[in-house]
Amino acid sequence: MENTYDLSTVPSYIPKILKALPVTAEILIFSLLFGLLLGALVTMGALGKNKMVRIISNGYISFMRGIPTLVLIFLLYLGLPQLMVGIGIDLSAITKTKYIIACLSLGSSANMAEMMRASYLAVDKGQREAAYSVGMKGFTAFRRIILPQAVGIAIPTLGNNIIMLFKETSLAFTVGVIDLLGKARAISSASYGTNRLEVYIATGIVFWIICILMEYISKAVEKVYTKGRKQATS
Amino acid sequence: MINLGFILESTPAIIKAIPITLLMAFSSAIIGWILGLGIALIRKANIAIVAQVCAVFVSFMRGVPMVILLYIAYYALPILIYNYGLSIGVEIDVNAVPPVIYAISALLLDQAAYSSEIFRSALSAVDEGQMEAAYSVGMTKTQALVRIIFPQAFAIAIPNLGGLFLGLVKGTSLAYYVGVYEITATANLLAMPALNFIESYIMTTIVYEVISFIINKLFRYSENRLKRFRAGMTV
Amino acid sequence: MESMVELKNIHKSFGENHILKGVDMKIKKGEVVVILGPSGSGKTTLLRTINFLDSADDGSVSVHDFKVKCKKHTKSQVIELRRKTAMVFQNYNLFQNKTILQNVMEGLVTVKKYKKADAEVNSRKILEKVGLSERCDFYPSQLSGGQQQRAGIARALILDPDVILFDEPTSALDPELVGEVLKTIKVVAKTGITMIVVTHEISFAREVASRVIFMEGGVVVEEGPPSEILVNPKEARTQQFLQRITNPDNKEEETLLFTQ
Repeated sequence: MENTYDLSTVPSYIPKILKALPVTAEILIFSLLFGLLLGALVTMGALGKNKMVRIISNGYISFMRGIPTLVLIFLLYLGLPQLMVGIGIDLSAITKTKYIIACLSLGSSANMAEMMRASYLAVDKGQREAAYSVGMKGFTAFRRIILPQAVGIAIPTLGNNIIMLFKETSLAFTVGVIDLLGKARAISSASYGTNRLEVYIATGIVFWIICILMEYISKAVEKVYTKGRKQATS
Repeated sequence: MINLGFILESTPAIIKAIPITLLMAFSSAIIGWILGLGIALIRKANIAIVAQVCAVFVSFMRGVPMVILLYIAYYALPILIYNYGLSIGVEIDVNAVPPVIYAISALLLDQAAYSSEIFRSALSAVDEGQMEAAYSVGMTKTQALVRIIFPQAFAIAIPNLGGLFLGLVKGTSLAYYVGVYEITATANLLAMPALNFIESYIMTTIVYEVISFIINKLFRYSENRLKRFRAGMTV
Repeated sequence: MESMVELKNIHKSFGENHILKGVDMKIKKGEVVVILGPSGSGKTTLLRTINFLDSADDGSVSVHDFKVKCKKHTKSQVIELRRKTAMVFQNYNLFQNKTILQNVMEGLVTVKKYKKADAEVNSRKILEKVGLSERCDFYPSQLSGGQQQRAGIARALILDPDVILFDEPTSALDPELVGEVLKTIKVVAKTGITMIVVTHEISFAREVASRVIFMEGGVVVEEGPPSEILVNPKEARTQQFLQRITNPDNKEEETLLFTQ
């Protein structure tokens, strides 16, 4: 039983762990972009006229909400290549980082879609009618009246979703990507695990601080964006 | 391509792992939510220092990924337990403590933090007049909270608690990394010898989807039951 | 006659706002006192200091010889006081998570420690009196405002309090529902229970009140039997108030609104 720990060494690990920040940032940014895009597509499907597309979109959302991200990672990273080899497709050229980005995009797209749908539906019906009443066409009304208000409503949830996504990037280590947590594990195993508790606490602090920053930015953006649009967000 | 024989053979093993997943989820939800309600009340009453400590705790729990919390609990708790044992003169064999205890500890603290935020906003959403009415018939504060305020706050909180619980069940899959043989770990273990990953994870996915579906249904059901009196409430 | 409610030198401020500036009041058993006054006069606050929903900064409150000093009151004193009083709220404030029957039973069961079965029998009787026996198992949100307020009155009545406090019981109601609630309150008034009613309904005051108190600016301006106060008020402020309230389509105000 390891029983030695020295919390005073925790800060010294923080700069070392932060060296992996670009990897985590890359994963976060790409998963966020693809997650938003995919989420928008799914939202359009879920709110659209075609019944079949609606069923598929809603099914996709509840499927993604039901599966743990870790299982999704294993399914895609370990399971999919095996399946593809069976039909003669070789996926070994895809990097681990890309797998992680794919998994996190899929996982977050469901949350993004739920956010978009809820925000869209939260815009007062009268807004669309008012836009039509002054002669706007469907898409113009959407772009100029509905969308800006929906975005205002979505900002707090978007901030939350990004923070969730950021925390989920920590799962990249499970396939061997050297992200923040991957780096932490590497540092820890370089000293045969003797300092693992300190290293994990240091990693926790890194995530915590970045989350606090993100929350702060999210609140600031919300404030700027909703200035004079209070009605839309309340 | 897909080995059906493997699926048939290993299904019982995966199903046997469901109880440990549910044990983690339910025990950390029950204890965590009670703690969360406590935190919410402390922060609402704005009790000096304790409220600030709670705020920092909530912020930390919300900022740190689950898997890191699990690692910290897994490595820190045995030391704490051991040292506590020494301080009361007992040498505790911490290796005998099953890892699921550490996993539940981390999960329940996480639940306490998130649920406290849900309870806090739900408590604020209950109309102030309800408390006054309870006072006006002569109830004590505790009676008013337990009989009038909490049931209403709970009804408001149900949809969010449902989402939180779903996230918790999914989060238990991470306990794999601290050596708990729950569903995901079992699937991995089964897949390893003959590299039956796709079969194993398809099964795992189905199991989680079914559990999620049932949880969703349960929360929807209780939401609808409580809607009767929610209709007129401002949310 | 014994005095049921006695307020002495009640002061209350909200921040900088001095709402009540030393109010004294003595109410005898069986009296129906109607408090009138413009909004912001402190009449609702005064009512709420009686059961300590707002605790006064200075002065004392006694109900049926139980006296509480506002400056130093204990929790148990406040609860004791609240158990001697009951309140009917402007927004009804029925317990949203309980049916109408449960709303009425609640105080009997939790406060007076009645057995559930007994509480139910009594509650059904009271609900019948206020005309709600058909609505026992409904939730408040399923009822009209008038029905909710009648249930609120039943909830107060069943506790057999020394005094019932009515805080603008008809102000939140649609005009067509005011009548049924006033009718119920009148029935209650005839039972001889002590009542303090804050309201804007002058006609109600005229018919039911044994005494009318006019408040403005945190003090009692004038009081007396309705036949005096409502017909021949002595104070100029009372006269103005009555004129404004009995003459709602005041031409002067309307022109003001448009020229502003």
